[in-house]
Amino acid sequence: MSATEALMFDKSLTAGEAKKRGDLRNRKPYIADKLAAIADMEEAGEISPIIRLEKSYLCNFQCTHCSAEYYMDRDLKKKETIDDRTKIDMEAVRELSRQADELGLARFVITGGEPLVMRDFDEVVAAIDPDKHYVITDTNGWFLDEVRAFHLKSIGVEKVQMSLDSFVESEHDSFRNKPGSYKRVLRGVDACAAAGLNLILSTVLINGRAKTKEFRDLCQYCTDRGVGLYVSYAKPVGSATDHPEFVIDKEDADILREMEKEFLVFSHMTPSYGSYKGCITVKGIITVTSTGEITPCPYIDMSFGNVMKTPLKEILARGMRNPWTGPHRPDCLIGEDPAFIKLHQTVTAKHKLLPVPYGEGFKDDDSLDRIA
Amino acid sequence: MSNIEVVFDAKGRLEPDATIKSPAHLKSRNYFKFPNLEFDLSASYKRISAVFDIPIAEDDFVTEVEGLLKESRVSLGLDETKNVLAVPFFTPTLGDCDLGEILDNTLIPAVGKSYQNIFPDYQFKNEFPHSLSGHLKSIPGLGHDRLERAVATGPVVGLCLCVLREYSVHAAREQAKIIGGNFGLAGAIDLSSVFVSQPDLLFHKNEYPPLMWMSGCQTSWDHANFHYEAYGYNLMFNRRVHYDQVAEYWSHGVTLFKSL
Repeated sequence: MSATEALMFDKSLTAGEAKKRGDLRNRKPYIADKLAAIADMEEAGEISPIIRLEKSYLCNFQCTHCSAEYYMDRDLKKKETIDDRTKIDMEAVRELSRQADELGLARFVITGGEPLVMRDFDEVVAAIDPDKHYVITDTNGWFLDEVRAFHLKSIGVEKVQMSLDSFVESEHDSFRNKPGSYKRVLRGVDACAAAGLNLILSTVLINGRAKTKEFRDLCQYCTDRGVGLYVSYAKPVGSATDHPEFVIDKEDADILREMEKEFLVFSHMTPSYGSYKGCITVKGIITVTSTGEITPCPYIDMSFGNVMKTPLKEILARGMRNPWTGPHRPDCLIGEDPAFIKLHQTVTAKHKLLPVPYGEGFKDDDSLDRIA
Repeated sequence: MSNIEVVFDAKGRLEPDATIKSPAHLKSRNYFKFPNLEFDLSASYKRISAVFDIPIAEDDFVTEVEGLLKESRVSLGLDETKNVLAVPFFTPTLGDCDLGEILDNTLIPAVGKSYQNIFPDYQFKNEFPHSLSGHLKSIPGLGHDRLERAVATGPVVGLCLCVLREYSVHAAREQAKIIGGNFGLAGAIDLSSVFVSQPDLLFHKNEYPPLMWMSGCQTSWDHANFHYEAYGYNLMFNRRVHYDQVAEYWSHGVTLFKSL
């Protein structure tokens, strides 16, 4: 039995998940085939990362922990820096989609910034090609009413990942620096359900939060609604650079691992349908920034190359050859490894424009005992 | 006096021989750590006895293991100052059966029982969704083949040294050949027996422990092998692809045994 066949007959699939997969196969068999082939690709030693596309950093929020803050115009203005680098355009997105498809990659996440404030959002979805790739959008939920949800579904978006940083309204609004944002998220949950969009809620785990009643209540709410809760470890990057106290320890991560047994909750480290990747840098995710630079995860501001200059295949190969990001490891590189966190902070602090280009951050002759 | 020329670092990692062709890290930053375990032979004996019918008394078990420890220290040139993690084990008579069936029917359930005995709130899980029958064979000449033959007809007592850290599977096999002598590269039988004796080998609350490969065995897939790995406070048996890669996270055991 091939890995694909094994997955198709995977008894661990919930009825809901099996139904979703069946529905996708009926509507988009090309994508369903690519998704089903991921297990065989892993079996063959190939990787199938999700591509996060940060085409724009425009955002209507200013969150305490925003990992993209240093990419935003408002931050560059503060630093009196002008970003004159070439930005990716629709043609570049189409070419990225083509190369990704050629490599068997199947999933794009449109992120930012806040994707739903992008004027060209629909055009970006079309450039990715929702008949070739499974398209997901991130959102803070502010603009996600029922009309918008139905529109997203109509243009080919399959899934929404919406942020909810506390189950306590005042805490969420305060963390997001946006009064009313909690209520908008709950409205968005209903809107996605009405429009038939798959939904996961995402939340940031800061040190100690895993032990709180609030976090447990959030897990319970998501489980009761049948909505997965994606938990992102707080990383000492972006706005959170000045909050080292946010960084979790192993106990937080292990408590979360225990909660996975009880609730519909998962992190980027959680095994999924037999795939135990550990840290997903390059292997499970890459980020394409607005300047075409490819970083190994949303929180590492060091590039493996620019997709407008170097083929995607070679950039991924660089990432897999790199001793930090390529090898299998069970912990989060940028969220838990103090040596890498220090290296990353030292290297990125020298650069006003992020991410740090290949050769100045990550490099061909990288080593684990490298001192920044 | 040392019979084999090997070098250990300050953390008890056997450094790869210069002649090894497959990937292995020359130096380690020792990021992935085994927990600080006491070498408590009496406790091991009790944990083993709770799972297997062990045909020797505790005192004899202690004597046999201490003998193996002395032999390994002499052979590898290890003095008392070298902090090498050694885990005793016992394997019952397993008969002349397929290795996969032995794992399915005897050793993996034994690991699960031992884990449950000391961690009733956590889980041991076999994540491989199919029968293991026909999927594993001892690699001739690497030591696990000798162990397999020995346990076919009688029980053994052994000692596993967790010293091959940050080696690719192929590099561990190369290094095991260099060590040679009575040592073998841990595979399905000895590694599983180790987890019966020391189920908390990978239970580490403050640090991430390494993964342990069954590299002394060949599987049905050239590029994949079976292993034990922690997931939080839980232990799992699983299979994964490794190709010709090395990871800081990967480790292998070297074992000695004596038939009873």
